[in-house]
Amino acid sequence: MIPSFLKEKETVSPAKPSSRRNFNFVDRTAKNMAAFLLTSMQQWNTSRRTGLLQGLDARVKVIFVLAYVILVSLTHKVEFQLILSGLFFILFLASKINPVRVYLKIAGLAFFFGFLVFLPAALNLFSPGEIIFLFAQFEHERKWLVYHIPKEIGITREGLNLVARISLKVFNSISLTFLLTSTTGFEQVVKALKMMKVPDIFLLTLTLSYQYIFIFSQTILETYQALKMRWWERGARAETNAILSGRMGYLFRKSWEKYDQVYHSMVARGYTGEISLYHQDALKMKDYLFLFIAAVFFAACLFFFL
Amino acid sequence: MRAIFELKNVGYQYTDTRKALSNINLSVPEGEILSIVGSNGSGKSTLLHLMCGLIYPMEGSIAYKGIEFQEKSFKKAAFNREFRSSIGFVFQNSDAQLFCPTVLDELIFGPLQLGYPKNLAIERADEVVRMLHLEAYTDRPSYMLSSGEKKRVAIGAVLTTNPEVLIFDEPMSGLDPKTRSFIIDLIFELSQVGKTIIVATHHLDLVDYLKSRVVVLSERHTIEKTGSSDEILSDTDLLINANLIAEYSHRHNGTVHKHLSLGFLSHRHGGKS
Repeated sequence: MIPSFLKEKETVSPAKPSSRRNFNFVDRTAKNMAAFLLTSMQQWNTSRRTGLLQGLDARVKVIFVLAYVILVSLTHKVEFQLILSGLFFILFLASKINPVRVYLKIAGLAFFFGFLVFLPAALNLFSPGEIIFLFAQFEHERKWLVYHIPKEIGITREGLNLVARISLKVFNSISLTFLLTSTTGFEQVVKALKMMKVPDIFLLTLTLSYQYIFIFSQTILETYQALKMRWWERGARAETNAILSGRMGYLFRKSWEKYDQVYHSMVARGYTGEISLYHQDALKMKDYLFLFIAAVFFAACLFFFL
Repeated sequence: MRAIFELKNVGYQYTDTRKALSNINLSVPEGEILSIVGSNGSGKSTLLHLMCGLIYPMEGSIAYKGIEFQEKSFKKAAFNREFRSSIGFVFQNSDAQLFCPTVLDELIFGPLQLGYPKNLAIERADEVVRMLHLEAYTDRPSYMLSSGEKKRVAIGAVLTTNPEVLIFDEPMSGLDPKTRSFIIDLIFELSQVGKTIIVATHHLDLVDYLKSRVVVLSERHTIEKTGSSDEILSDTDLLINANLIAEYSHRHNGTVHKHLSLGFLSHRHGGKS
């Protein structure tokens, strides 16, 4: 029954790879998938700690986040954005969330999506004013159609101020999102959105998407681990592409099957187009107190900084 | 016999609060069949992933043939090549393991990656196809197969590279009795031709059939006991404590019995009537 080659020690030596293969890509993908799963688990853990925000009703937190995102976008003073950053930092500490870990992520995102994206706006081409870093100097300014190239090109004080303000706004908005996701389970957020009359179809799509991103991250991670076990140094880009496209097809088919199964299980349990959730507890005194303080601070900010 | 794997005080945890393994000391000699048993979530799969170099210990050390390895060890081409070609891992989820367009592609994938000549890869695939009775499926995509067929392809895909060590993660889960019996026989025969076999399972009938050395992982994620299969399977209290068997209430003729859940152990009547 057992083939003869399996009865002997392997005699064929694995060939040395002829060229450096794309193995780092596989490693990186597996690491990123593992990181996503780990982050999901860490968020689930932090949302169950006994901290200030964890003790509040999800509806209160959703209202707080939505209101303060509006506040962050309404006000344009750097000092005010700094005050808000301080407030959010205190909330992270009071919610027993490791500030170093969370601020590293927030700073990275704010750097890429805030600072880097808006940095060109600091040039005098877009923000006229006093040039503090000169990049280029021409003999005379030029005009072509609607374009105007000044004599000097550089970063202006006003431009830097604008970039700092926008970066801080991005930083604060991301901080708010992290405050919500780190202290509230995803299912609680969905429930809060339902109470706030967000359409069922949106919630259903959101819930299923989140669930399947999680499931398929696991599948992709396992696939790459299997690949790693059998695919070490050799290979070509075409082979990599063939495997990846095969995997994408597989995931597409699996997701279609899963959604179909979930939908049928919902119909079998009486689903007619409206999601019914079990009764949610009434807001407690501490929820009202938090809302009151947040509202007073909100009003004060509007009064002093707008 | 030299040790294939040597684990010293190995610990691993996924998050601050989710411990997977703690203080694992284990040696796997060449040619041995080792069964790792434990309830769901006891850390069996994590232990296998550590041995396969897919994740790395947070505490303690793991050595493969006397060479301690960590993440950076796999950056060395020679070690990576030697390790990956010697260890065959059959994943619990066959769907995740099978990624080639057809069954035949799947079977020749490993040997081709190792740089073996194509004719040798196809020759080996043919032999494995016959051994695993996959003749009718070679040109089919793996997603069109049943769970049992997928499992056989997953095993075949690993066997074509003729690894020294075969590691199976829950090989019996989701299979029908005929396929289970086939896989038990196959694992046993592979051990008879000198392969080192490591099996993680919570199916005690597999342990009973393989007559292997058994490591019991507790729900506290530590090794509860190591011993022969007969020794472990006769220790009912140990199996109950490790959540590998349970007593069920059973009612007949107006009498309530307590029955153990597994057939290989003596039928025990006890508890309240």
